[in-house]
Amino acid sequence: MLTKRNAIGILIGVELVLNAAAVNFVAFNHYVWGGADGHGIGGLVFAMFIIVLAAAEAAIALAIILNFYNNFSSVDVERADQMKG
Amino acid sequence: MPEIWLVLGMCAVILVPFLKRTSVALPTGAALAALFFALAATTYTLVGDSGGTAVLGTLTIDPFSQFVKLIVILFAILVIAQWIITTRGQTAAGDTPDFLCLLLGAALGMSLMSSASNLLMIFVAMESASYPSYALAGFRKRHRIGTEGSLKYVVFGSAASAIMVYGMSLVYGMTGTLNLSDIASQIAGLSHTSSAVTGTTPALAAIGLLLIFAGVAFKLSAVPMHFWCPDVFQGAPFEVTTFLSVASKGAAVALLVRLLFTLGAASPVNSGLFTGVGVGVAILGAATATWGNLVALHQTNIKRLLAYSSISHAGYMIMACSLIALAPNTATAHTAITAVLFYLVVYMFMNLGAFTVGAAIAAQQNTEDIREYAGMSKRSPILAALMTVFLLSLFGMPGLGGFMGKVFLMQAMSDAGPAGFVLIAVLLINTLLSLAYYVKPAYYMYFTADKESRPTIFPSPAALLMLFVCAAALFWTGLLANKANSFAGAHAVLMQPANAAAAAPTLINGLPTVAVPIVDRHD
Amino acid sequence: MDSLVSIAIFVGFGMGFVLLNLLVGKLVRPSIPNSEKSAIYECGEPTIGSSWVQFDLRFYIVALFYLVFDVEVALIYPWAVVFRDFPLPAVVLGAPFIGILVIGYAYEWYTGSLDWVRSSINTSVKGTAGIDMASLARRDPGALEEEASIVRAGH
Repeated sequence: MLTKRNAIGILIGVELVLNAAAVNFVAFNHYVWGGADGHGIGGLVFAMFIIVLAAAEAAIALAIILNFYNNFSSVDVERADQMKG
Repeated sequence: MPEIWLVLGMCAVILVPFLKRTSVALPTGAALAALFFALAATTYTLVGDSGGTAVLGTLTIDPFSQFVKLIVILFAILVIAQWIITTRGQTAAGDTPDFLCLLLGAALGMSLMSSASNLLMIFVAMESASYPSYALAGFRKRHRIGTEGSLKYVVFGSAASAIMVYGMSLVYGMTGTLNLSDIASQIAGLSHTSSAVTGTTPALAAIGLLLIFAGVAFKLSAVPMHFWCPDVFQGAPFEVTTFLSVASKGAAVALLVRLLFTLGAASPVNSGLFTGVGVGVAILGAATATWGNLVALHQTNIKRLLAYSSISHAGYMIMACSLIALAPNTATAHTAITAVLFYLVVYMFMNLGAFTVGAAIAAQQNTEDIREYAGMSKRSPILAALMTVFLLSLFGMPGLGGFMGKVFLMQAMSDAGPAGFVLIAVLLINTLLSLAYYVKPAYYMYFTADKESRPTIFPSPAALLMLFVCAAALFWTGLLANKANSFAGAHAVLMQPANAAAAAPTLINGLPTVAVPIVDRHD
Repeated sequence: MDSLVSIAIFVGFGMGFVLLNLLVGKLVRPSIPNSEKSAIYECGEPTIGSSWVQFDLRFYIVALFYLVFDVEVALIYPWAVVFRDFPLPAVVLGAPFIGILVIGYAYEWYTGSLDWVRSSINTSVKGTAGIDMASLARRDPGALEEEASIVRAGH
């Protein structure tokens, strides 16, 4: 996520971190509530929302990266150096 | 619930093109109508002061949240007005519904941020405030700088939110709940019971909290995470810059206040962890204010200058928020929250005014460089005078709202003991520092001659009306500050977490226990 | 821990079975290479160029819509499981969710964002930034005229 120069690569890294959090939520939900019937679905619901928001985020980020590509003919984030200071 | 009106507005705005394509008036009217209904809904609920919860206890509706929503929605209306008056010509007619829908969506997310009291709702609210902002920042599709700004915004923003969610997962794992007040009491318990008893690791919970604060700090553009702010502000169109500079930061400040307040309400007095959080937030605020002011000194683009100025103002507000954790009693916390709300109102009018003057000049002269404001006092004395008023208010000139905002911040700090006096010193030094760059545009406007004999600028009557309203609001808050402050004080009331628990007794695990057949019934 | 052991055995057996068969095949089969046999086979057509070309950006729209409606299913599924008898309140609760998605979809369709961008003007879509010109031509006629006037001025 931090070492990539390709914007798509950064996006993939971000999605991986989000998925790590989702897996954490599901696992912690199991360890906190031990599969008690009907109780403790907070972690599962959170994982669901992470999936949804990650998809929305990917859509927006891809649209912006596409627009960047149209203007700069590159998806290298190092090319984004027009503004400084 | 003003949020429902915002959602309906978003739907209406993108449905009206089916009636009449490429109409500008129809979607604008629909958006404004939705915002006014939302405003009415907010003021209606502003009357009651007990507080309650909504949406399965994930939202806390209290005077504080309603006041912040009032600011956000009112500001969205003012930004649409500014857009109509100054820069609408630069937006293609077919893009109007897109723009308004995104603006309403961002306002929706920011309203939710002000009352979110559950990790899930905080996440959803912050993301639904961020995503439209990313798109708005790159709204000028063929504008290279705008594209670059939005790319930086989305890259930094998505990384920050991913880190924040990871922190939330750690906090959930260590406390077993998503509800903020339950988390607070769990964490208060963690800090003085041994980890062997609870089977959890306080260190992990602390790291999780740190990551959550990092996510909020990104929205606030606090110092280690401020890089996006100047680039996004410079690249975005004026109306988007204006909106992000106040509404986005205001909502993030509200979220920070709620986090600190809820943590504090559960902590025992002088708990080490909570004081640590307070000191951390105070250092964050002081660093943000100082860094913003130092870098602003050599800016020549008006948007960039105001972007660094907004970073430093966010720093002042973060410093005041830290008092909630550092204060010895709840009365000081209340004073601090009041000061923050008052500051937010004043800051809204100062920034709106300064950006509107910038937009009016850019619309006619096509420049954002303050050196090209030379001789503005001759070419447009009204704009020059109004810009000077707004800049002096941002600096903190006595008689204007910005001064009283800083006075109230310092008053709150002075109640907080030795740490408060350090904060006051930081605030005073920064205010002096900021004078150096706030007078710069005024210097070019009044004391340099225009060598290239640029044409005279005639602002439209509507633009003048809007600017005069902003200036009047600044004089009113500056001269009759106590009245405005007592109004803010009446709304600086957050619902006590104990009430929250009582109001939603069915909450277990932060979400209600609906009988959900997760284990499949094979029937 | 028991479940972990059984999963490990399952995975090990699955991988081992495949590898064992490949190994047996390698030992048993005769090896008579010729140029016709070692050529890359793709649908009977001779291959042209490398397969590592940039994917056409226009498929982005397709991917986006797949993503949106795929995730929609992920959210609707628990709703459908909880309210398996579809009582009226459940439908009333679910309708706005689908309704908002439909409104957004209809808007995209109506404004032409879903049209397959045809290669237009003088740009081949396989060019470096082909989609730029093509989408401009469709979305923003003013910009097209601007380009045309530049061309006219050039002649």
